[in-house]
Amino acid sequence: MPTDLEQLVREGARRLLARAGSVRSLDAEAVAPRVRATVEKYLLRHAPQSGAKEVGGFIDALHADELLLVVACERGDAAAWDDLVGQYRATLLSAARSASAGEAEAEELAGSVWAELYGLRERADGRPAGKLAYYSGCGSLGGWLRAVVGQLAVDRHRRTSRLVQTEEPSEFDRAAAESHEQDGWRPAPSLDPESALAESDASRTVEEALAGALGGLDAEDRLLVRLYYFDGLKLKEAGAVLGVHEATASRRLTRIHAEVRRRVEATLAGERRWTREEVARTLSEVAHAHTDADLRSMLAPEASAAVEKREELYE
Amino acid sequence: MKEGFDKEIDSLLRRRARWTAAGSLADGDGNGAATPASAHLDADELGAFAEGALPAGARLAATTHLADCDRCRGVVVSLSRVLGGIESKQNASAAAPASAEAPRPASWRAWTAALFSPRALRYAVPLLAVSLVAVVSFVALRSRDAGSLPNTQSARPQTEVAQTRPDAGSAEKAMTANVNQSGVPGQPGETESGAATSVATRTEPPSVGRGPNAGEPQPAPVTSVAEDASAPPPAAAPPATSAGPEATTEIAKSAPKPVAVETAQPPAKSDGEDNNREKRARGAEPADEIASNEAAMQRRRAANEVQMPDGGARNQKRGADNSASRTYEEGNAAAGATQRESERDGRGGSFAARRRPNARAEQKTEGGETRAAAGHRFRREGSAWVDVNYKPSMRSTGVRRGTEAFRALVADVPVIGRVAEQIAGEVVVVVGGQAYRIR
Repeated sequence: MPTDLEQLVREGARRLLARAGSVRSLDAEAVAPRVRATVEKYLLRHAPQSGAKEVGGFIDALHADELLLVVACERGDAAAWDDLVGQYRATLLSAARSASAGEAEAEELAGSVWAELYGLRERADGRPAGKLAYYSGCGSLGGWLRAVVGQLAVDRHRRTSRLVQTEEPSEFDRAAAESHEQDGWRPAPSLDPESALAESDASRTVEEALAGALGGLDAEDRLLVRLYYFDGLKLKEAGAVLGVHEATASRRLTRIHAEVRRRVEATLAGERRWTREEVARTLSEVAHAHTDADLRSMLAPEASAAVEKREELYE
Repeated sequence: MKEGFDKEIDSLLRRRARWTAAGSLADGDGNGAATPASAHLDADELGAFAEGALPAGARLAATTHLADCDRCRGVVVSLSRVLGGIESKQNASAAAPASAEAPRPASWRAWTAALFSPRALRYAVPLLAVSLVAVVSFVALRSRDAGSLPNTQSARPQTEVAQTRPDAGSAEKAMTANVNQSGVPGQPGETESGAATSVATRTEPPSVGRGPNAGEPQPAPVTSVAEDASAPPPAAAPPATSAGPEATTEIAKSAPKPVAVETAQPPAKSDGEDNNREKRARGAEPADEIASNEAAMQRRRAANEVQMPDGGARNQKRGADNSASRTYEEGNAAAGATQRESERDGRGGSFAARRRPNARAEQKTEGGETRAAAGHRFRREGSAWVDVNYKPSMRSTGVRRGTEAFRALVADVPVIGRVAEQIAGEVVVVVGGQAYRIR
């Protein structure tokens, strides 16, 4: 941490005010605490050895106008609040629409966010404790507002889906049990070949090695795997999240494949004492079993339709 | 996908993802469901991550969390879809963090091998041949057109043509370089253009003398100014390099009072002496030649005027905030930051433009059709109007008028709305170093 951090922050705050379009009656003393908190949160916490140049560069990259607008709003500047609402009402509503099923829900969500921004509770000094206190100026204010809306929407959705999940199966189970009590029918156990294969020792061993290999990847690679395989994003979208081109994401994924294979093979050969041929054969079998299961599931609707058609003919 | 793709591992990963989603498999590599709420990234971190604004250390920490947290990842995915859009990220590979872009040696070899694989060569060779033919045809046509030009200019002496060519195009390039200059001192590759820019900007007012030569007759300085702007001599580059940011600061400082530009020092003494010698040699130039030089200067000034219609108010504000900006101006990097910020606001412009807010809105220059809107200058490229500050290396976001994304973008960056109102059809506008393609 630089020894003259206070001085750096004060100078940075002055530069921030100088390059802002409107200082909104703020001075360096009013802005400096916010700037210092941002520097500590994003720079010094992760790189304590940062020098004056890094600190200055970081402060100069902050969104000056937007940060001053937010600080002025926090200080109760009515004109600043008018500007905030005027400039970002459409952004907030747009974000709420993207996260909502209908217009009424979107407006209600946007209203909730505005209330949280203003603050429904009071701080010790009597001012409202709004969410605006958490905007640092590191990203754009529009992006921050969208993230606030997104978080609120995700939390609401999770609450709702949890309720649905806990109620629906029990309702369904009760209805199914009631309808089959009379005829004595019971559902047959699942004969999914993929599930059966998962029970086998070899498959479980491969799964464990795969989990270990994924856990050993570095953060960016793990994130890419998550986005592409687990979240079902396209390469273009996953690359967009990581800030890289689709082709770069593709190349990185190919490299990840190679690394995962190397780790899996090393685990199976080292810890399980499998031979190279056994490793290759097992990986191939497990992977192909999965592919076959996929094909069967894809063909299943057609097959069942054909069976139904045959039954109709017999009738 | 491409050569080297491992189908087996791909298949295993897909199976694992499906089982994890179905909940039939213990998620050994992290599951967001177990993440405590207090440990989630806050909205500020999420927004900054999606915009690529986090410093390297904070970005790494956020990436580590996102790899294991479904909730935060969901927000970032939706943000990146809305904020940058897929299209903008296609050009962002150059701006991606170094850690993300650093390729491993093995993949480099594979990548190079893939470049020269028969599959790639099968398309690349015919493509190269067609490109070669097109370039040769273009050059041949251009040379034929140049040969058939009317011979009016050849009546003039060759030196005069060279001196009177500092048209709007060259001034525009210098202006663009000035605006796009990062302002961070010592950055390689930018100092030379910065020097050239400072020379061109400083010599804009025709009535301003060049330091030691201020007392000389009026027409001669005009000629030398034009000469400087059209072709800054290489000898001037090294000394001017150190003076570049200072010169920018001086311009900002003296903006309310144009006369103060007179105090700005020339970038290099040798440069000034050379020009003086040439000026003295040209002291007896005919009057019509001087007039043509002045006409060229008028054109150049007019081209600069269109850049910033509301710069005057900004300069007044600068004057009012003199105490704060004085400290700020002492740092070279800070001066560059001012330039960047003023460009980001869409209010950036030349010194000349700040003095003349009522500029013409549209004009035709020798380089092609240009027009101005909302403080930005645009040149016609095909059917589109392209911001003169646009560079192919910039990130660009494509939006269509009337869409929700467009409305949201206009809400965030109002200058885009003003540009879209004033210019119909396809427009590429640069705001804050980011290009927006409006259709």
